Amino acid sequence: MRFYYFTEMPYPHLPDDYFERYGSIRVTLPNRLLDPHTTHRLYNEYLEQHQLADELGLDVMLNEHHQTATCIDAALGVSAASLVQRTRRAKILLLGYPIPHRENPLQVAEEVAMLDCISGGRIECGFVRGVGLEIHPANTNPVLNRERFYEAFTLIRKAWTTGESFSWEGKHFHFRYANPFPQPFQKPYPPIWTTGGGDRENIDWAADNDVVFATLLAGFDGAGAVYDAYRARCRETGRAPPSGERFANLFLVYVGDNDADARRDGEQLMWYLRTRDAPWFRAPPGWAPVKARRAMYQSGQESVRTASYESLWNRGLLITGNADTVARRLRQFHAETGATNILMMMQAGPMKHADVLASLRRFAADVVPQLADIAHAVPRPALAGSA
Amino acid sequence: MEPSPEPDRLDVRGHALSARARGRGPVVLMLHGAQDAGRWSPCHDLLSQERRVVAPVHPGFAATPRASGIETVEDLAYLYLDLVEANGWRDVHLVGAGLGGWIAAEMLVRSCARFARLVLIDAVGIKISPPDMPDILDTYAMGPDDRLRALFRDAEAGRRILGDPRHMVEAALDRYLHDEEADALYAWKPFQHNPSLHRRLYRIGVPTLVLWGENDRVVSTGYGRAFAAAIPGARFEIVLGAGHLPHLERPEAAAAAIAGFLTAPSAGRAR
Repeated sequence: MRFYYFTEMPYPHLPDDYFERYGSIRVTLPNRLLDPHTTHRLYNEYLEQHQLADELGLDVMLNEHHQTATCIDAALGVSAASLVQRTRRAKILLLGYPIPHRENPLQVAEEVAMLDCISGGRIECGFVRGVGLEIHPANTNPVLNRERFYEAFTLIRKAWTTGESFSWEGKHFHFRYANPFPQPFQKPYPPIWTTGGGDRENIDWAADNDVVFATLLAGFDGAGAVYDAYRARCRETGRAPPSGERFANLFLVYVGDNDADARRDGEQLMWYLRTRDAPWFRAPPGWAPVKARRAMYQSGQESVRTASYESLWNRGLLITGNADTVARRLRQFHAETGATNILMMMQAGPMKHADVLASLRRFAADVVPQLADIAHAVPRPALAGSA
Repeated sequence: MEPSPEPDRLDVRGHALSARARGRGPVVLMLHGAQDAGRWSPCHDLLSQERRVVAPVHPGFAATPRASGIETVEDLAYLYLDLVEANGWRDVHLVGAGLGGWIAAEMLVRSCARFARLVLIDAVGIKISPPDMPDILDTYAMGPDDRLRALFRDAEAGRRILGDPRHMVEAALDRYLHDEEADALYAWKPFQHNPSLHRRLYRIGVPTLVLWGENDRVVSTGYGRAFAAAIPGARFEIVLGAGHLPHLERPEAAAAAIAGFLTAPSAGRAR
């Protein structure tokens, strides 16, 4: 198994009534609420957490959001560049670049290639459509989001595999000379990841392109169903059965000295789920199918946002406890789904830096050895070139 | 009022458009906005008493399928120019509301050849204020209640006319969500306008009436006056007691203003 430390890098120091006053933690929350000294401290604590994960033998994951207090990592390339310097051996998973929102996909190709070369091939590169909430900050057309994703991905992959200048005159992107210097360290390019859920088209695309599929807070059953759909697609198209390293799931994770302490501290992780934003920013027209948007109109919000601690724990969104409990749950997840990549949001909201570091140390010292028998092919085989 | 005419099929350049039509006489082509797709309003009915009113649905609206290769307002403008040409219509009276007004303006800056009159009702489509001042309210950044309040002078009337999405049956809600999706396809970015349209409006060479709801909160009457000022000789008129959709909220007043303008011998030429 591989274990990736992750925090969304929240800015949690908000007035308690931010929702009543401003209507959303995202998009329209006034940025005057940010204190520069607090921002400085938070960035450095978050980077230090990733650095410790590397020292403890874990891998690390970063992501990117915009105009939101839930995530002040607004530039994946910048945080990754910092981690490339602070870490020595960890894989750095970028999950991921919201490529439909970028005006220039070649710039992404250049950034990732730089990071991969500087780190000597430690980059794993996620490409994502970006959640509905990202549409307004980027002001890209939500109806065309998917086709922009495909075009940007195809362009980036071509820019990493052509070996010379080519011309790209597509629907959304136009370059008379596409010839990015540098090229990735890993050949033909770093492992590609993506995220998603029940969207069948997205799963099929990932399977057809040998893309590692990460489910986020999907629970054991939700994640397993997605991996099964991916495996079914591979069978239908005659591809080799994907191994467990093709799949990942994100959990909220906290390791305490005992189960009771873990629950008390682990409940702080639910801050992430309890943040409130305006539903109309969550589901802009066309970003998701009408059926999915209808469900949001009818229910008001996603059930995961109101679920109890017990419900989240039982469904496997939240894995908290002492080291033995956490190891048992992760072994069970692997047994049920076959996935071998574990993405761990181990910090959320106002959780204290020292508590995060202690949880990380307990995870590395007492959980990882218990799972050492679960194989994860190392090094990863190179992914197919231009499948 | 008689029941609405059934939707019919109009073929143009290989695309099948859904349209309602009624009446005899000169053709009035009525282009709907983002909120009133596929509706046959009392305003349509009043105008159809002495004219042939043809009201097509822009592809993707009113639960119709999107049309291949039709993705922008410019595409829609050419689609409707082709529709007029394919049917051999002449001296067409073109009426557009909201998004439909934007499409109508885009059509006539390209060609006025087959048109006799233009009526714009609370149209979107131009940019007049500085970059950091939006001219057009973002009705996607609000809940259903606030949206009804933004669209109508009287939100209660709006609820009766358009329905409240929180209490719609599934089919109606899906249709509402499809309408949002279609509008987003055509008008998301730049938001509800074409930066080049304002400077091209001088090309509209037919008598024009710019009709505006007194209480429009989506696009102000000031915006309407700026629209009229950019079209040579255009008249500007207010519909009292109406918001962004005067043809739905004050159908008799809107129909009277439109019919009066379409009937006047040299309508709109004098400023």
